[in-house]
Amino acid sequence: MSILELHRVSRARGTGEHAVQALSGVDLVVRPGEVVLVEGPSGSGKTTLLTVSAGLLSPDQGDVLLAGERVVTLSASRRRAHRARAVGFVFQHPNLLSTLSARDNVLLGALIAGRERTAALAATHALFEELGISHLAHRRPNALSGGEEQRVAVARALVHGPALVLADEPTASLDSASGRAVGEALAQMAHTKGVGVVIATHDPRLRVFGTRRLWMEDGCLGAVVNRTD
Amino acid sequence: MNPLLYRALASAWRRSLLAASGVATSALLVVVLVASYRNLTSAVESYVGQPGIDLWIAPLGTDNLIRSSALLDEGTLGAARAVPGVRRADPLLRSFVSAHHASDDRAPLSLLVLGYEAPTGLGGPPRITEGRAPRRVREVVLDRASAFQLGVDVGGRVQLNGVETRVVGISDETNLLATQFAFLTRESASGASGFGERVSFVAVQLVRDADGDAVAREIEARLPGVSVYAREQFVERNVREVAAGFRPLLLIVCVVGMAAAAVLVSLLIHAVVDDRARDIAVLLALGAPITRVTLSVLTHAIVLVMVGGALGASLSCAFRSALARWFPTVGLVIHAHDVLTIVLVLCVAALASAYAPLVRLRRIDPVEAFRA
Repeated sequence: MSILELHRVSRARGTGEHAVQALSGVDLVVRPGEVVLVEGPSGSGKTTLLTVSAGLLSPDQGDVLLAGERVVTLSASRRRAHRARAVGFVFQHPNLLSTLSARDNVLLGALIAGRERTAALAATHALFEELGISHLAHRRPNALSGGEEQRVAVARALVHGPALVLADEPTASLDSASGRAVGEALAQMAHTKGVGVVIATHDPRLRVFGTRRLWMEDGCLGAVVNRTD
Repeated sequence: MNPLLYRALASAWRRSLLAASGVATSALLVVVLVASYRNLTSAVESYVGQPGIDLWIAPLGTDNLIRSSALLDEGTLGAARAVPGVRRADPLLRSFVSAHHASDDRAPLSLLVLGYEAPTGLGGPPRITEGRAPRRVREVVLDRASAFQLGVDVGGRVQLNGVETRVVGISDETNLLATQFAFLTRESASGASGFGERVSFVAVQLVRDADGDAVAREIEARLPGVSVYAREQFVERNVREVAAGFRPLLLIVCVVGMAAAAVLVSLLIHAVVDDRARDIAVLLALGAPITRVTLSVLTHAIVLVMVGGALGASLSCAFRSALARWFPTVGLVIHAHDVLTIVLVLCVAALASAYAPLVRLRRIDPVEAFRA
C-alpha cells in the first residue's frame, strides 16, 4: 500500500519563451514509514515535485494519488480539505506565524486539518513532549533559534497525524546540531507513526535518515542511489 | 480555529492602535458635528415644542420665529382669546437686541429676545438651571452660552440695546449656535425693541379635549391676517429653518470623515495583506479555507473600526463635558443612536474600502510558502 503515487507526471512552469519543463514524466511511489530524500541542483524541479504531490499545483499530464485520492479529479475545496488532513509541510523557512506562540502555531495546524479543539490541544501537548520541545511551547517565534523554529515547524507538520510529510530544504539554514535534530524528528515520526516523508534537500547530513535517495535533474527523477553511498 | 486564525493575521498592536486612533479621530469629528446639529435643533424643539403651548399664531406667511420680523395686528390677542376651545392665549414679542457687558468692553452679542407675560405666561424659558424667571422690567434670563460670552452670571448686569438689565436666571437648551434666546418681560422687550404694544406671536393653550384643528381653523377664519400652526407643525418648520444652512456642512464633513476613516482602514488591510502575504500563503498551503482567512482579515478591520468608533464616542462625551465646563458657547447633544449609526456607517466604509486589498489576498498563491 502506498501513500503517494505519481504516474508519468509532467508540469511546465512559466509561459512562452520562458516556459520550463519543471517535471517531466515523473514516477514516484512513497510507502508508509519511508523517508525519501530527493536530491538535485537548484532549479531541478524538487519544489515543483512537492507542490504537485500535495495538490497545490495540478500536473499538465499524469496522475497523482495522495492517500487514496486522485487529487487531479478533486474540486478545489475537496483538494484543500484532503491536503489539510493528509499532508504536513515543513518549509525551507519555518514560516511560523509571528503573532502566535509556538504551541498556538502547532495547534492552529491541527485545527486547520479539522481536529476538534480538545483533541488538537492533546495532540499538540503530546507532540511537544515527544519532540522534546515542551520548554518552547509558550515562546513566540522571534524568541526561538532557527533550529528551534524548525522543530516547531516539524511539530506543526505532524500534529494532525498526516499520512505524508513534504519537507522542502528543511535544514538549509540550520547548523549541524539543529539540522540533525530536525532530521531525527522526521525520521522518528516516519518510523514510529508510519508517516511517509519526502525531503527535497541538498544537505548530505540528512542522508543518514533516508530510507531511499532519489536524484532529480531537469525535471526528471531517477538515478536511485543506495542508502550506503 | 477562528480565534487563532484571527490572532494569527492581526496586525501588530502599535499599528492597530494607530489605525484605531485614526478611526476614533474621524468618529470624533463626525459625532461632534452631528451633536452640534442636534444641539441646534434641540434648542428649537425645546422652546417651540414646550408642552404648555398647543397652537402658535403667527403673522400670515410667517412659519418660524427664527427669521421672522413681521408683527401681528393689535387686535389679534383679544380675538384669539375669544375663540371657543382656547383656554389661554399669551402674547410673545420677538426681536434681536444687541447685548454687551454693563461695565467692560467685550464685543457685543446679538440675542434673539423673547418678551413674554413673565413670570408665568406661555413662551418663557423651557429650562432655567440657575436663578429664576424675570418678574419685572429690566430683568433678563440669558442662555448659558450668552452669559459665558458676556462674562456675567446671575446677579450680573448687561446692556440690552443700551438699557441696563439685571441677569436673574440662566437657561439651558436655548442655544442656537449663531445666536441664543434671551427672555424678558413683554414690557422690557417692547422697550428694547421699540415695537410698542404690538406682538410677534400668540401662544395658545387649549381647553382639555378641544379639537386643535377645529380651533385653528376658527382662529384663521376670524383673523384673516394670521397663520395658525399646531405645536408639532411649528417645531418642524422652525427646525427646517435652523437646519437649512447647517445640513450641507454636516453632510460634507460627514463624507470627509467617513472617507478619511475608509482610507485608514483600506491602508491597514493593505498592510495586513502585503506584510503578511507569506503567512497567508502558509495558511493556505496548510489547508486553511480562503473564506476564513478573508473573514479573519475583515474581522480585524471591523474590530478596529468598532474600537475606534467606541473610542471616538468616549472622546466625544469627554469633549462635551469639557465644553460645558470651560467653553459653553458650543453645546453638544450626543444621542446613542447617532453614535451607533456613525459606527455602522464607518464599518460599511471599512468593508467597502477593504475590497481592493482582499482581491489581492485572493490572488496569493500558497506555493509562495515554499519560496526562500
